[in-house]
Amino acid sequence: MVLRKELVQVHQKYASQEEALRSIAQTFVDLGVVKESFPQAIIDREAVYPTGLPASEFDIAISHCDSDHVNESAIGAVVLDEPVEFEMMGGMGDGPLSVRLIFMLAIKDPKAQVPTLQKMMAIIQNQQLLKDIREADTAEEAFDLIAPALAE
Amino acid sequence: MAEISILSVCGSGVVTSHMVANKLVEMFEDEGYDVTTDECNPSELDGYLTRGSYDFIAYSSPISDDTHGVPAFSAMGLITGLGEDEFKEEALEALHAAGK
Repeated sequence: MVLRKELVQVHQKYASQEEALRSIAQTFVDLGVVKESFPQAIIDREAVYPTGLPASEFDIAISHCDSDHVNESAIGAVVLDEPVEFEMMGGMGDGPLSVRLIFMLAIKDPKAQVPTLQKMMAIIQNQQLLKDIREADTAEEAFDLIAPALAE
Repeated sequence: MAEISILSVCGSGVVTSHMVANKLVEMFEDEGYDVTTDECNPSELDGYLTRGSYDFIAYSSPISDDTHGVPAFSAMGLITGLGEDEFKEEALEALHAAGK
């Protein structure tokens, strides 16, 4: 399972997108699944190729970077109490999105993670599931919502 | 079965382009095509287009206007799920125009 309990958090508050990404990416570093270069790579990548996605009730982001910074594939999810601004993926949006849920993906070998990425795509299109995750009171609750959706 | 080849482009060439590629395989196999895909990032695009032959490009990051004459479509509707039908229609039109 690439979704890691240690990487799921709820009720988080960040002053900016950069602070959010740095803080979340650091939890991956602390777990040893990524290299020290991962947080900066995530921030730089988000600046050049944003990963914000519009959803029906609130927006989400699927932050990630090159595999070079990754030791072992892992996925985390963080629910924000206050939205943080992200630009929309594709550079075709009208202004920033208000992101309430950030998925962070550390992917070592995308070919090997194809089933997981397929399920990830289904999750980001499942409005009810996104809403339930956002409303989770605890990290355990959020994890228990996401884990079955990502399971084989 | 007509064979088609699709190039999926995203910022890192890792996560989003693979999500899109998987979706495209599913979508166009349902339409009766035999689908192969490659994934790359925008800076690799020119090299891929020089070396390979593609029926269309699906992109989730801005790409160069010079796509060597290969039709290019935004894959954002596939990622959000909010524009799948439009994407499919556009791409099928391009395939039919190319006699596939």
